[in-house]
Amino acid sequence: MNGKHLSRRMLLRGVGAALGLPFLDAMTPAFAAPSKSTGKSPSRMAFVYVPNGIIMQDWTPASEGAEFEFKRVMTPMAPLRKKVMVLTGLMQNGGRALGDGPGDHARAASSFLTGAHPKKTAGADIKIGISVDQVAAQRLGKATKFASMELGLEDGRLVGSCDSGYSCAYSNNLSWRSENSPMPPEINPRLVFERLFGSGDEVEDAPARARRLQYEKSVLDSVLEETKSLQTSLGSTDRRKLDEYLYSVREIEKRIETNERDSRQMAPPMLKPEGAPLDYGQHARLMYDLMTVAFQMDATRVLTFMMGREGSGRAYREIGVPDAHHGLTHHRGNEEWIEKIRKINTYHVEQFAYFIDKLSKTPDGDGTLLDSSMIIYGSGIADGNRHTHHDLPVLLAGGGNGTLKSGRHVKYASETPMANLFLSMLDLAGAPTEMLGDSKGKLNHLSGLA
Amino acid sequence: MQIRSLFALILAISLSADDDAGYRKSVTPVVSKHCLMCHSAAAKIANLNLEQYKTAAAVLADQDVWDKVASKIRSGEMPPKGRPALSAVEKNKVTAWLSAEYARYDKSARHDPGRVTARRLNRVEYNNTIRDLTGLDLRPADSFPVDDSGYGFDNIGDVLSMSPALMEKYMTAAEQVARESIAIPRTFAERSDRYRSDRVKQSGPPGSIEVRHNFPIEADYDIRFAIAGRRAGESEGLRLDAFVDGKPVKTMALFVPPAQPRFLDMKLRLAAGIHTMRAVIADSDGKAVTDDKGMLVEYVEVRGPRNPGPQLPPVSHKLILVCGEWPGKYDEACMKQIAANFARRAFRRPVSEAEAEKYFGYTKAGLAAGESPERALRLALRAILVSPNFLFRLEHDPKDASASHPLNDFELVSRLSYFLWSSMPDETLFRLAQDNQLRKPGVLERQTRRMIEDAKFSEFVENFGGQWLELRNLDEVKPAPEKFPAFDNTLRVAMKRETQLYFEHVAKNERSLLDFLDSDYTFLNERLARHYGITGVTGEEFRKVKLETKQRGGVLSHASILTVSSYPNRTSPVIRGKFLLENFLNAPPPPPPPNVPSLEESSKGMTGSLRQQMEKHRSNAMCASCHTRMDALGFGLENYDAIGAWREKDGEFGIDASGALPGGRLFQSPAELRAKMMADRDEFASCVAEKMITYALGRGLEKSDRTFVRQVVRTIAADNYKLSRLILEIVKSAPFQMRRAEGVRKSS
Repeated sequence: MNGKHLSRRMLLRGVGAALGLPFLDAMTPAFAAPSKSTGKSPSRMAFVYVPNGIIMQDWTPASEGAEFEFKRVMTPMAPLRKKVMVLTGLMQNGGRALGDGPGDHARAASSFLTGAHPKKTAGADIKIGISVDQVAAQRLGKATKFASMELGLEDGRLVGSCDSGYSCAYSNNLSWRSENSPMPPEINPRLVFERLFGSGDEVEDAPARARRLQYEKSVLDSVLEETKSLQTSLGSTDRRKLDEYLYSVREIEKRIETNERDSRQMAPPMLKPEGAPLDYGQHARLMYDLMTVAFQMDATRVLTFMMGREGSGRAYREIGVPDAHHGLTHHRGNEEWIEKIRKINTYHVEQFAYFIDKLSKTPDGDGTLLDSSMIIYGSGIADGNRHTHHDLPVLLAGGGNGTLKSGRHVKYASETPMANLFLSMLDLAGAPTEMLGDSKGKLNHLSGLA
Repeated sequence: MQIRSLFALILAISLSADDDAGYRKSVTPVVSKHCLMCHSAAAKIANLNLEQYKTAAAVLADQDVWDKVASKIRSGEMPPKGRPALSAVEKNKVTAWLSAEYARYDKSARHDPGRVTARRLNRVEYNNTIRDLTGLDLRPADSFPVDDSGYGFDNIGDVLSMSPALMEKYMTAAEQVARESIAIPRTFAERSDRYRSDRVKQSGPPGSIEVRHNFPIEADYDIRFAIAGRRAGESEGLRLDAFVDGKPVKTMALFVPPAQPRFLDMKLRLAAGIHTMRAVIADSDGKAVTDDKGMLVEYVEVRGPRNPGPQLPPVSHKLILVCGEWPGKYDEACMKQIAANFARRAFRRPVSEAEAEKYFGYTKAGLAAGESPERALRLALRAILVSPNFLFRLEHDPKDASASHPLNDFELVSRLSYFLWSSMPDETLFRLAQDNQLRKPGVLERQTRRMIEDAKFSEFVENFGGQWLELRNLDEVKPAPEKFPAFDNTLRVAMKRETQLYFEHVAKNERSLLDFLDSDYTFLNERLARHYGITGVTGEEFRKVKLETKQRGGVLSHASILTVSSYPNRTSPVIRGKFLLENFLNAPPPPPPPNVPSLEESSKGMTGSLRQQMEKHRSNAMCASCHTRMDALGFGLENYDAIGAWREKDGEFGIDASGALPGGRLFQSPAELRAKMMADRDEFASCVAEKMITYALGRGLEKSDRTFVRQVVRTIAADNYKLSRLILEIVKSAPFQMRRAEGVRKSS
C-alpha cells in the first residue's frame, strides 16, 4: 500500500457517524487520473428512475431553448442550469396496454430503458428486451471491474403479485441483460461499498491478493467446466437457468482478470457506510456518493439507479407526507393530494441535483466527471393519475465528453420514442447500435448542431 | 403430439357413448334453457360460448371453463339477477354430472405430472441450508438481492434468476462460510464494532435495539449501549434493561437529561459464537414500554477480545471435519474424505469418485502452495459452495426416459425437505434414500409426519403461510401513528406470532383446515389479548385461549391479516374482499379494466360513512360487476379496524357489517360471514391445495394439474380436511413424486 496516503485500515478504524461524508481531499491523489495516456476521459452513462409519474404542469418549462424557466418541481436543478437539458415529447409505447389491460406500473418501469413491451405473465416466461444500459455495458464495460452496476432504494414487494398479473420482476428492475434476465438493484450502501473496495476485514498484501485471485479463478474454471457437462444432461428450461449462471460466472472471471491487471491500490475516498439509513434523503445521497466514487475510480462506466420501485407506496414522513406515494398519485384532481405529490417530486429532484452537483465538482482528466457523463433522469409514467406514457418527464444532464450542448429545453414532436434518444446517446458515447426496442431512428438537437 | 390432445383422443375412445348421452341428458337442456341466451356462439357474452360443447370430451378439454361454470351455478351468481334462477334439481343435474365425469376422467388415464425447472435456492433456503450444512447460523443470504416471486411464491424455478451481482455474493458467501466453519489456530487482535439503531432494522419495542454479533473467541468483551435522549421530562421511573441471548445482564435507571447517563457499560465473558445483544427501555416493573419515550439506544459497541481463553473448535467441525484431529492433523485420505463428505451433503446426493477427486484437488493445490491443512480444506469448501450442484436443485432424467418417470430417492427427499423445512434433508432422510427404503409402504408417510413434528417445520409456516396469508407484509406495514397510537412493534410481533402458532397448531394436532375459516380458540399473550379486549391473559407468553364470544374465530379475525389487508389510516373493504376471494374462495376477481383508476375511496367531497361513499362508487356500472363481489365480502369484516381491533363505530357512524357472499348469500356480521363460508369448504380446500401444490413443486399449475388438485381435495374431504392430511396427499401425488421427461412437449 502506498504510504503517502491514508491507509484503508486507518479509515476503517476511524468510523464515526458514517453519513454521506464528503470526500477526503487527502485521498484524491491516490487515484490515478483515468486513461491519462489518451488524455480523454472515458464516456460514462447513468440512468435514474423515479416512480409513479410527476405533476407535469409543475415540471414542463413553458418556453424552449436556452431561456427556459424552472417550474416548481425542478427548482433544485436551477443552480445547475448550464449542466442539464430538459427533453419533452418523448414517449414509451411499450408502457401502454396495447391490448394487455391494466398493469401500467409494471410496464412503465420495464419499458423505460428497453423501449419494449413486456409479456404479461405472473411467473414463468418473463420477457421484455435488452435495456440501453446493458447495450452500453457491452461496449463501455470491457475495461472496468464492473460492466455495469444497478442500484436502488427500495426492496421488491415481499408477497403477492406486483401489478395486475405482471411478475414483480417488471416493476422491480430497470436493467435487463437479455429479454428474460433482469439485473436486480442493490439497495444496501454498505454492500455497494464492499463490492467496490472489498469487505475491509483484512488488509491484504500484494502476494496474498494475487493468491486469492488465483484461487477464485481456479474455482470459477472448475465451475464452468462442471456447468458445461451438466448442460448436456439437462432439459431446455434447466439449461436456460444454467445459461444465466454461466454468464454470471464469466462476468466474475472477467472482473478478476481486470483486477489482476489493475495494480492500483484503491483506497476508498469515503467511509464505509454501516447500512441503509432509515431516512430516505440520507439513503439516496449515500447511494449518489457511491455512484460518484464508482465513476471516479473507474470501477464502472454504466449505472442505473431506481429511486423507488415502480408503483411504490413509500410514505415520505420526513417531508410531511405520511401517505403512500402510489395512492396519492391517483388524486383525481384533489388539490391537497397533488400538493403532496409535488413535494415528493421535488424531494426526488433535490437528491438528483445533489448528485449532479457532486459530479460537477469532481475533477476528471481535464474537466469534471459530469463533463464526461450522460445522465438520464425520468419516469416511465408522466401523469400518475391517468397512467400516461407520452410526454414523459426526462432530464439529460452532463456534457457527454463534449458531445452534448446543455442548458436548454428541447421539445420533440409528440410520440417520439424514448429509444431514439437512447440510440443517439449510445452513438455519442461510442457504442453505436442499430436498434433498441421500438426505436425509429436517432434524435436530433442533442448536440445543438442539427 | 400435444399431450393434452393425446389424452383427449384416448378419452374420446375410452369414454363410452354413455358419457355423451349423459351430457346431453343432464347438462345440455339446462344450458340451452338458461345460458345460451347470452353464451351462444353468436352472442358470446364474456367471451363464453357454451354452444360449442357437444360432447363430454369437449367439456373435459376445457376444464377451466367448466369449473367456472359450475362455480357460478353453484353459488347462484349465474344466471344473473333478473333472469329465472336454476331450480335445485337443475343445479344438481349439471354439477353432479360434472363431478362424476371428473371423477371418471381423473381415474382413467395416466396424467402428466409436469416438469419443474431447476430451482436456485432462494434466500431463505440458502440460509437454512448453510445452517444445516455447517451448524452455524451465518445467514449470508441476508445481503443477497430479494428473490422475485411468481404465482404468489418466491420459490418458483422459472422466476428465480441469476445475475453477476448475485454470483459475486455467492463467491463472497462461500469464502465466509468456509472461513467460519473451519477454524485456524490464531490470535485475535482487539477491535471494536459498532451497530447503530438507525442502520440496523429494529423490530423491538420503541427505543430498543437488538443486534447479532459473532464473537470470535471466548474472552472478556466490553459492551456499551449508548443512550440518546431527545426530550426531557418523561423518563421518570424508566430504566434500561440489557440482555444477552435473552438473559438479563444489567439494568440502569434513566433520568431526565442532562442527568441522563450516556452509556450503559458492561464487561462480560462470552463464549465464542453468535450472541444477541438487546437493550430495552422498560418501566419500573421491567415491562418494556410500548410508546415512544423520547429516548433511544443509539448504538451498541463491542470491544474485545481481552484475556482470551483457549480457542475452541466451532461446532461446525463436528459436521465437517469427519476425521483427523484439529488443529493440523489430517492425512491425505482423511482430507479427501472431508471434501467428499461435504460435497455429498451440499449436493444432497452421492458424489462420484471423480467428483471427490476433483474437490480434493483444490485442497491438494492449496497444500502444494504451502497452505495449512485447514486453509487448504477451505478451498475445497469454497469450490463446492459455488457449484451449480449446490446452488440449484437439479433433477436429472434417467438415460432411457421416454415419458414420465419417478424421481430418484435423493431428488425426492430434497423436494420433501425443501417443501416442509425450506432446507436440505437431514441424515435420516439421506440414509433412507441411500438404502432405497423411501418407497417402502408407510415410510414416506412416517417421515412426513416426523418432519411436521420437527422444529424446522416452523419454516413451512413462515414461508408458505407467510406468503399465502401475506403475513410477510406485516413486517412492512406502517399504520398511521396519529390514528392508531396503540400500534407498535411489540404488537406487530404479537400479531404475527398468533397466526404462526395457530397454523402450527392446526398442522401438528390433526386439526382441520376449516379451523382457518372459523373456530373457538386462538393464541394470545397479554398484549394481544388487551388489543382484542379479552381479559384474563397476563404476561408475554402466548397460550391457547378459548374464545367466549363470537367476535373472533379463525384466521380472518386475526389482527395480522386484518392489518395487512388495510390502508395505513383506515380499513379497505375492497382489499379485504379481494384477499378473501383470492386466498380463501378460489375466485380471484379479474384485474380492473384498462384506464379505470383503482377505487381510492377518497373522502374529499363526499359525505357519509365509508360504506355509503363506496356504494356511491359502485353506481358506476363499469366498476360494479367486480366491486359488488369484493366490497360485499369485505364489509363483513368492518367490525375490525385497520389494526384488527374490534369496533362498533367508525368515527361518528355505526358499523354495518352486513354483506353478501358471491351469489347473494347474505350475512349480518363477521360471525355469520364465517359460518356461511363453511358452506364453501370445497372451494376453500381447493384454494389452499392449489397454493400449497404450487409452493411444494416450485412451479405454476397447468391445466393438467387440475386432476391432481381434485384428487387431493376428494381425499382430504373424506378425512375432515385435516391440514396434515393435505400435506401428506401432496407428498404422495404424482406431480410431487414424478417428472415428465424432456422432449415430451407439454400442452398449450
